[in-house]
Amino acid sequence: MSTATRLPVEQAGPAPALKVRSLRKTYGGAVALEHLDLTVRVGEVHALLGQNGCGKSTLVKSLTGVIGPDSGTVEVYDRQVHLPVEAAHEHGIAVIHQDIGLVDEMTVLENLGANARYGTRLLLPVNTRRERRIYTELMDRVGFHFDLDAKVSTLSPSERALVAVVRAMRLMPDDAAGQLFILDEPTAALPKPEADRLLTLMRTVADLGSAVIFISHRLAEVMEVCDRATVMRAGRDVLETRIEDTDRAEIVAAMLGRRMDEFYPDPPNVTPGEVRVAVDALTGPVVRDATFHVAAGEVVGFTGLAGMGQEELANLLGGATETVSGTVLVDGADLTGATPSRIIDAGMVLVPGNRLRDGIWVAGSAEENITLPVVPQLRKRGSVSNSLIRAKAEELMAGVGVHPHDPERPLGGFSGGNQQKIVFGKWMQLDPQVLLLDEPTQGVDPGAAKDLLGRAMDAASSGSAVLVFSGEHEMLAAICHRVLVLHEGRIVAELSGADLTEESLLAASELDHAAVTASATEGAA
Amino acid sequence: MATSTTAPAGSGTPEKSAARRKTDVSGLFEKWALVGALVVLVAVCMATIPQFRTASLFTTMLNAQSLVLLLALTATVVLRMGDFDLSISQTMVASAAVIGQLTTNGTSPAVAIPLALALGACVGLVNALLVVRIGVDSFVATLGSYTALAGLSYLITDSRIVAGASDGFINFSRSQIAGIPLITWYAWILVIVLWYVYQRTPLGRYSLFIGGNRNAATLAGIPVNRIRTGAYVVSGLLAAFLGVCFFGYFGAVDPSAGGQYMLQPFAAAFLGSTAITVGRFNAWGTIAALYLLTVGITALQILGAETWVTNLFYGLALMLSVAAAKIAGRRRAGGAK
Ligand SMILES: Nc1ncnc2c1ncn2[C@@H]1O[C@H](COP(=O)(O)OP(=O)(O)OP(=O)(O)O)[C@@H](O)[C@H]1O
Ligand SMILES: [Mg+2]
Repeated sequence: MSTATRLPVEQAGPAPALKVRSLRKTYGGAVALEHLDLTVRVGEVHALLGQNGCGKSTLVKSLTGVIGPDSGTVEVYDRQVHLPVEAAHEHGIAVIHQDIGLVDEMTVLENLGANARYGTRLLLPVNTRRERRIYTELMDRVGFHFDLDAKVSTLSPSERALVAVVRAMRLMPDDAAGQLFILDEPTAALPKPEADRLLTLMRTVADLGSAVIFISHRLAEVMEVCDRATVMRAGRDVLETRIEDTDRAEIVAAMLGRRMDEFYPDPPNVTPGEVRVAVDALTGPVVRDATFHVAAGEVVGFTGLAGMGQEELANLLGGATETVSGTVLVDGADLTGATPSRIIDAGMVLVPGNRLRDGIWVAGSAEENITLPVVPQLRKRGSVSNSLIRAKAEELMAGVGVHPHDPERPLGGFSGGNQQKIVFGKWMQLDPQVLLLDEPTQGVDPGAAKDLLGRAMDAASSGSAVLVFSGEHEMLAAICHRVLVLHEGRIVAELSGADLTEESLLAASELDHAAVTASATEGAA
Repeated sequence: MATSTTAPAGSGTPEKSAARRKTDVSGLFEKWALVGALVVLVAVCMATIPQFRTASLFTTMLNAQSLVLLLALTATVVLRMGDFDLSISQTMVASAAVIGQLTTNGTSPAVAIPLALALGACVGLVNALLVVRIGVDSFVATLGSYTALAGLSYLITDSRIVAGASDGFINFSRSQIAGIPLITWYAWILVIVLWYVYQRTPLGRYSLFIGGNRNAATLAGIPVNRIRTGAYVVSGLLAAFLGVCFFGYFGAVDPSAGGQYMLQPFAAAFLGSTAITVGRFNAWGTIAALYLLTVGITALQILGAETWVTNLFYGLALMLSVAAAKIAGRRRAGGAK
């Protein structure tokens, strides 16, 4: 619990890779970091944990010089770093920021080199062939390949996350020790197998004599890969511990300041009603021949490896991409190839996964964002009423627990998890009959995730059909009645009942038939 | 459980690569459509209009449009960052006014030219202060500096046309190499320099990054504000240098000349962004666009059109090509909306 008791041990060992003392950062009047101490040792993967908005990304941005802290000290490998940090990479700091930082209209290759000055000087020519070779090798190491000439706008959220990973790896030479590598929720948009590959990579880097700071809300992977953890609450460090000495319950209690026994809500215990969504042979970008039914009161998951079609299926159903063939019926109404506005009118709502592209208007205020779908209803005598908007926004923000409760703040001023809550609240207010959730808990802390999912479960028990598209197997196994697994755009397995476990989902995603044969043959509803 | 050993989940499914090949062909068409139009237009003009078969017409065309070309190239420097610098044409005139006023009153060009360049750098810094530091919208801020500089030009010249440029200035712009005036050579050199910077260097890509998503650029560790400030200063300096060319080219300065150079360079730059590296402001596209416009206008004028045809032609060509590029881009994006 206390850092003090550990200090002597620390001093006996080698110099820490990072030593942060009394770091403080305020935005206007609001305190984001109050008094933060953090020590990261050489050779360890150090988890930085805490609720949404507790200041994790603020710390990262302070270390990489994106923002300047108000006071405090930072030492990297025993060298005092002048604040605000300039040229972080010269201190051996490499980072994947939470917002990933890619430019849609540029190619993957052009995005990749941006943090490494394309391997050259500002006004010297870029050696494109060498750039290609470097990134092809790095992609081999992560085991994932994308077209280097594709525009980033064509990539799915998980592919974008992988681009960011590959980009940061360039700054992390695997032979060199003495680096500090910071990953701010790199796995939030990654399905389990890809996330695992990244975790192994982090482990390797740490073992070679660097240090890794790993931020994640997925405690399972934290327990699996990290050596130590620092838990933050409201801008302070409240717990520093070795992972072996703790468990998830203790960590969550430290994060939230209260104990939480179950991490996920249970699926509603209702007998499925009439069929709400009937999809037949649906084909579109990536998706091939998808056929399934979802009944009222059912919670159905869709998963697969990155790029296997689950994200695309969500977009297709929500009207974000064009249907090639097949039919979609919602409550008997034909919505095949309908526009998003018709789909929404029919009661089917998509909470998109690519928050920064499809979900929010970063410069707009929280209230403008959250009331967007209902603005036409918030009128007094014909014109839009600010007071009605304010009232509605406050009600919605309180409903999903947005922190801070500040309707006027631009969305960009909220932490990642709170942005996700606003997106969620924006769509839940429509009381959708069919709820399409694409990575609904992406970047949301365990406490808030339980709340958000609880709300979706409530919708299901009152008769909505809930479709969850996600790579988080643990969550799917906990909240779904059944889960359909996609591979190369086709539905290849369906798991339910006792066969529906985190392990069986992973096995089915990887087409490991031996492990799933027992359960892979059930028919659709 | 830990790491999977399955084959990499490639995103290059056969359907996708076939789709890419198709877009490659239409992409190629998009890239070269403007250049193709220029070639066809020249060929048609040469076949149907006798004057087009004389070399002197071509030198006249090159010569007459070099200033606009230089301004258009200058405009791309800031445009690439997603900002505007509307003040360039007026900076050019003000710089020419400083040089004209000083040198015709006996000051040495060795003093007058650095002063004019300093003026350009100052304009750039003020623009950067407003846009980068304070965060004023660049369109508004540089419209302000444009207007202020217009006033300044009148003040410097006492609202008169300053004539009597020395031979040195005139030769600086009008001497010929291989039958082509120097001012045209300057434009061509600038095309090559900008092409190199834009296309080949990290700085060129950074500028796109900044224009594409400023926040992403910051997170990638790019010194966004320093580069944006630099762009405004370079833009101001180039514009002041154009003042020297301007004074030599006309042999005089008319303080009211800024207006007629204000929008054409932007039209050419926008038009140029629909060619070569499509969707991005680029040097070769800009020069192709400008020559296409020049040939079209010259042909119309030879056929008897009046001077108003210039603006009409510029405007229509811009509207058409930008709309065409948008439609092509949408088709290229395929299913995604
Ligand atoms: N640009 C900004 N302006 C004002 N306040 C900000 C800004 N950025 C962050 N904050 C505030 O600072 C606090 C810390 O935010 P931060 O992004 O560091 O949280 P976090 O721990 O990374 O959360 P998450 O897990 O949701 O990503 C939050 O209360 C947030 O609202
Ligand atoms: Mg964060």
